[in-house]
Amino acid sequence: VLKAFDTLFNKRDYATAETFWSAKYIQHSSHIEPGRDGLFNLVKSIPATLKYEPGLIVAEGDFVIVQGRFSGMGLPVNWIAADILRVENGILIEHWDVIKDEVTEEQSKSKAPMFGSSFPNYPRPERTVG
Amino acid sequence: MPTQQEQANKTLAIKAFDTLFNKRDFAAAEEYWSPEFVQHSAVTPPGRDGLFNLVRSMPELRYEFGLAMASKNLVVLHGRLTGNGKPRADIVATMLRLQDGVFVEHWDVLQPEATKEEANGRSPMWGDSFPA
Repeated sequence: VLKAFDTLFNKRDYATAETFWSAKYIQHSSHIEPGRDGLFNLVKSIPATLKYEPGLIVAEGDFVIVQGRFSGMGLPVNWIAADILRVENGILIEHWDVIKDEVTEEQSKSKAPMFGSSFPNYPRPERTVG
Repeated sequence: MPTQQEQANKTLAIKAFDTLFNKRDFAAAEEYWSPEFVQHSAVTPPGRDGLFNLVRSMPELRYEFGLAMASKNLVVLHGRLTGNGKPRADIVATMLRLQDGVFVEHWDVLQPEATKEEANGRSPMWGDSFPA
């Protein structure tokens, strides 16, 4: 999963990424269009500054869940995502996610970073998703 | 396959969440949450008290369990929160770090549950059907 995400989101190597994503990929994300094409086309539409950083990761049986940060999307804020992947025959077959804007220290109720060990600094923090 | 310890951690997390969010048994829930609990959530005030007081302020709150996974000292729960005082349920991915059988650190990601019209992926964010 980490290699697949790095290939698609950071290296943007779509040909190699096709070997990680099933052509029958089922998408439960509210944000991403259906199928492998829906995901790949979304990445293609995002500026080349897109960066994915993985955080906590847990794998069990056919499922992997990874917490990560998407930045450089051309939005005023970063996104923190929990991505749940179902793996079948070594490829990604089904996906669920939960996405939230990465909050600043001022916005955070807990006053501890949502991701990693420091808060983001935005020139103009504006809400995008939940 | 999860180890015996990982399975035990998962069972404990499910019991703890049911105790706090559904049974609202705050005294029993104290056994699961460390007093030094570190909270990374954007929406929950710091510490065990911050979490418990937030739950106290939402009498209709219900937590529905989905996928639960464990690896080493981490447990991740995929859940649905209703009665959250908002027009929509929140879908939540919860990440918990355990130490000596209690939660010591927590991260989460919450997002309002998408309706059929809003869901770009055309499949429900949660379970087999879209919310009404």
